[in-house]
Amino acid sequence: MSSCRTAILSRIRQALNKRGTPTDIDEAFANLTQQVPSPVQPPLSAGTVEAFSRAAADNGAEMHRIETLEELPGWVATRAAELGQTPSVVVAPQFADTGLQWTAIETLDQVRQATDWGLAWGCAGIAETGTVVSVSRDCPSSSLFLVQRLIVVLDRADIVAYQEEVWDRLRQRFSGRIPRTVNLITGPSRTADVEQQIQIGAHGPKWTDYVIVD
Amino acid sequence: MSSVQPYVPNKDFIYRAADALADSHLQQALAKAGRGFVDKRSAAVTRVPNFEAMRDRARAVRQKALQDLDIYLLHFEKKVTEAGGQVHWAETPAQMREIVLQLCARHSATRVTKGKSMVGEEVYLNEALEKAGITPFETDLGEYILQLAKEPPSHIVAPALHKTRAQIQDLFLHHHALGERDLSAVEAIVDEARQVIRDRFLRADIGITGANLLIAETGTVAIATNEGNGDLTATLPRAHIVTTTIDRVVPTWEDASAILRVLARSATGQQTTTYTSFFTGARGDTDKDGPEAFHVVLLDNRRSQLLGSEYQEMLHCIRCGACMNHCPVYQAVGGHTYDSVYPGPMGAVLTPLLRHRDGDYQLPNASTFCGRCESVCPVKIPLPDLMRKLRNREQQEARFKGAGYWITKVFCALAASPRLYRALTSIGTKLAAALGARRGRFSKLPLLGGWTAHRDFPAPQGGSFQSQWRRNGKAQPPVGACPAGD
Ligand code: SF4
Repeated sequence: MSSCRTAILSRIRQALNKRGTPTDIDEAFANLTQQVPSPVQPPLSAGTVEAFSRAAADNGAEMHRIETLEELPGWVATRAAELGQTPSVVVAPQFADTGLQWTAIETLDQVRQATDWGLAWGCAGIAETGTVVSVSRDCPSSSLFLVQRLIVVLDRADIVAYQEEVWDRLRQRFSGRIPRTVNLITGPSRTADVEQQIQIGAHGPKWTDYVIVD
Repeated sequence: MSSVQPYVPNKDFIYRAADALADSHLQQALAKAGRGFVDKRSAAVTRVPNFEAMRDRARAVRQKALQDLDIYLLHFEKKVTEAGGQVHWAETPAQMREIVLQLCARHSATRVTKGKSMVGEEVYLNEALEKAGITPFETDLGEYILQLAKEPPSHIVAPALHKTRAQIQDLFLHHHALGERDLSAVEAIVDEARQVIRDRFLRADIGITGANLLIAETGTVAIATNEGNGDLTATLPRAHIVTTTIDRVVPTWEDASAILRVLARSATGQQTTTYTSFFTGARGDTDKDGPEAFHVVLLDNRRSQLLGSEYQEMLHCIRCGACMNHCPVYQAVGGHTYDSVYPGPMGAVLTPLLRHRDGDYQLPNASTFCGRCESVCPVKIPLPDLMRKLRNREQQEARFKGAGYWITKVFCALAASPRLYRALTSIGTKLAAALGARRGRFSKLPLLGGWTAHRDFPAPQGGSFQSQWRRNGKAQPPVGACPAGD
């Protein structure tokens, strides 16, 4: 419906008292967004990592720390035993090159049933809200949502104070086209659609573990 | 068993309000919702010392976005196309429905999952899909409940706010053939919805979602949710269609942050929603998943006419719902009384501007002008002022002037002539004082039946305010004198 496009755009231009369309839209956009005002951000309650842990816990994530990545398979097995479960764990493709051995647990490439667990490696953590970030070039977005318990591993150095720092990282890492999906996840899924009562575990994971690797 | 009669609203706000006040289920649900939203928002905004500065920044972002809306929309379109997606433009709801149906046909879709989209509601998308033989499955729990109940949403953030737990339980027992079971706990209801809807996610051909923001910089659609249904709707099917409007666009990711910081705090009192997801184009070669096709349908539906008008600020709205949560009228009568997808104060402004239906001007009149909506609006939209302007416009457009118009006209003439005003009010006050002298109050008065039906009207004591003022002088204000205000 290209006539709709023309009509809508010309009405907008008329309302804004503009004459015509710039020939180079990238240049016009760049000119308009050249000046970046300093952001208004909430102050952090502590240092970045501590503030991240507090905010994530406030939002329902369970916080854990391990020393090195090599401890991860053992940690997952212990966690399952602690909770009295024997889950199959969907391991994100990012772990393929790490050489980690998953002998004590059953691992999967994709989600098979609703009781599976998921293990992803977040590309950043945001202290401001206790949020983890994952992108679809690293990990299939659907496996972050279809599992019952989601474990997100984070490198301590990837925890930043504010959202804006993540946007900068994304621009640097994906200078061409950014991934199809960028997921910001803060705790387990929830709903308040029945009498405004918060119920954890709507369509996404019922539980989330964040594991910081020191 | 629950009734699944289609919802047919009365034409008059006043009758709908009376029905709402007499509806015990609704009153029970509204009482349960009560101060929940209000208290949560208040706690969230006091937790940050600079919430006012965040509001100012969010407002500045909305202003900036509208100032060069044409450039941002064109840049957004260019970036979506570069990322393998397609942008479609619709002037009217009918055109949006047609575009979505064509896309469904192109992708041979018979099963569609839907995330919450107020724009989808605005254009009656579900009805159009059903007519075309396509089954739309709502996946947001609130929207799903309403799909079973065959009712429209009554709140833009919590669509099923008007439903009690018992009503939801009945709907589930009636519609899900799962045998005898106990659904008395909220957890049981949510678990059942999770189970029933999961299979629909996995089998859908197309997923349709709304958008909270469109980011011009990269052609990205941002969605903020708590349930995770929006993500499964956007990610699992072959194609993802976004139904949204031209005013959702912001320039950059930093601008998106400024809006997101005030959105969840104002809506649900969260620092952030559980999921904030950013979708750019179709699945690329190196993406691990995502749809093969991505379409954004941009609806105008008279929004471009608001640009540059005295109602432009209404386009700042970020759909947080705070204005309705704090509105004494909404709290008393609920969202259906507004008979529009957009209820409460924001709906009272938007509905007459976007829909132009007979009776829509009743909505800006159904306000006490207490001003709470404006005081909590994260982007500081002067809602009472906009409603006042609409009341004026109603009078200007009216072909037949009603009693209200003439009463106001007479009052204006009187108020413009202080001497006449004083003389008449003084006579009126004396007359009323004499008539009510015996009991000191009236239990019935002509034209004030609405007042006297519930309480007595006090008889004036000792002359009009102005005559008392003259008598007592400024040094001694009469007892009970009010501070200045309008
Ligand atoms: S008018 Fe303001 S308070 Fe109401 S929904 Fe829009 S942004 Fe929120």
